[in-house]
Amino acid sequence: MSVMTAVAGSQWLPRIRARRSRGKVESMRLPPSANELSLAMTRMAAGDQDAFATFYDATSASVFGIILRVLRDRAQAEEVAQEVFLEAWRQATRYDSEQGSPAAWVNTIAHRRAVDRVRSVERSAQRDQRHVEDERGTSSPDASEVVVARDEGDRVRAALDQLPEAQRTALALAYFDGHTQREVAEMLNVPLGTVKTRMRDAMRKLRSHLDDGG
Amino acid sequence: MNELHDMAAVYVVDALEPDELQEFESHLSGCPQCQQEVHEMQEVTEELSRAVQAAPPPSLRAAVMSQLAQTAQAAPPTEAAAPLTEPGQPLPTNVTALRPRRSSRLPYLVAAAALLVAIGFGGWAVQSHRDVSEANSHYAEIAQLLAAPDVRTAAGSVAGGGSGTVVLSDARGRAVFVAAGMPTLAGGKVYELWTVTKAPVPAGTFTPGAAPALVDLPDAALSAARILVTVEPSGGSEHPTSTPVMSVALPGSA
Repeated sequence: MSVMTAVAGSQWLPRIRARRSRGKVESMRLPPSANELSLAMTRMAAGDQDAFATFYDATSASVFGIILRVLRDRAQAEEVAQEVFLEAWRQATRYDSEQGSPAAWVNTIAHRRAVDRVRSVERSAQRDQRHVEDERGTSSPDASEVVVARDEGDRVRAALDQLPEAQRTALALAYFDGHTQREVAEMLNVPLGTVKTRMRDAMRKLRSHLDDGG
Repeated sequence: MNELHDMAAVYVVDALEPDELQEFESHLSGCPQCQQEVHEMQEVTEELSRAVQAAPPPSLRAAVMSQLAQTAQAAPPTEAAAPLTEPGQPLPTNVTALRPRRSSRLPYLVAAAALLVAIGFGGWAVQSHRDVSEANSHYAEIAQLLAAPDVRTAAGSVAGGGSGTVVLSDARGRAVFVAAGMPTLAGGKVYELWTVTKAPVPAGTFTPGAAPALVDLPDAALSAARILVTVEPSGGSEHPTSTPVMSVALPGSA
């Protein structure tokens, strides 16, 4: 199991490229600027549903994308995404801009919900089985699953490309596949301390790379 | 300690084991340096998610939008409560968000049934009426209120147990708050109710007892957006001095 899953974790980049090269790239309406999103957030906190629509449109592709990536099941991903957005609506009143951007805020909620779901509902054996099926292409994305081409997506893919393979794999197994660090250590057959170090180094490198506008 | 500082990266990718998560979160609440690192790294994970963007089906947007009106928003941290929270501390978690409510009348009927049971079998700890003999007339009063064509109800709960229900009717011109099973308070403290349109306005106090407590709310409740409950010194306060233990968003009149 560990080998297949590790491969799945490290091969997400080529799969995305393949999908984009099928001509499914769609240009998105211009995303709102960071300021517009912050403003929408403030209005959301005051109960403004139109502001929520702006917030949803700006963040839903990332939110749904990461949930789908972790859960690998569209029906469950839709369910969790719905929970996440209703939670965002409920908690908008408590959002504190000191603690990060609105996009990062909702992404944190989304990722945590997705891994909670994967860990509570699924046995890892079933999940690993699905990874295998997924790699064989048995769960092909339907027409609505379009990878949206955006500069930011390219930017982070480039940043990931620059990470050493070992760091990228550890990070991808945790973040994109939803495994705990202990699971990652077992899959890669390396000590837990090594996994921690790889993740820390990977995150710090990504941060400085993205900060540099790279 | 160093090891704890190094957990920020594993924390932001949600890869800590449950015991480690607890350990790190308690460390995090007192470590501005780690908070800073976590916030910065959460911006990075957000970018990671952009690499796997997938457009959700339009039905998802419609489903979410249609539930907003029935989904109560959490109480904002009140200004008076702010000094109690250290800067950078995680937001208070003792306010329980309400579950999304459906637009059908079913929840009203369930709430109504629950209230009638409480009235019928629980007896009342009447707070707003000095004369205890009036308690007997409450059954009829509440039943009338619940039978009003425009009755609105909303419920909230307290993290430590207990619940509160607001019942109001414009036609009857009356709003009441019923509390049940709320934690008892030490040191002569009381629960204080607030109606909120813009700023919280005092709306009465009560102390929890074995029986449900009934509080008549001022007319302002009929047009309020939400009802808050805070813990205040004996006699109540002019402004909230603590973080709300309950927030009940009031549904708009039909």
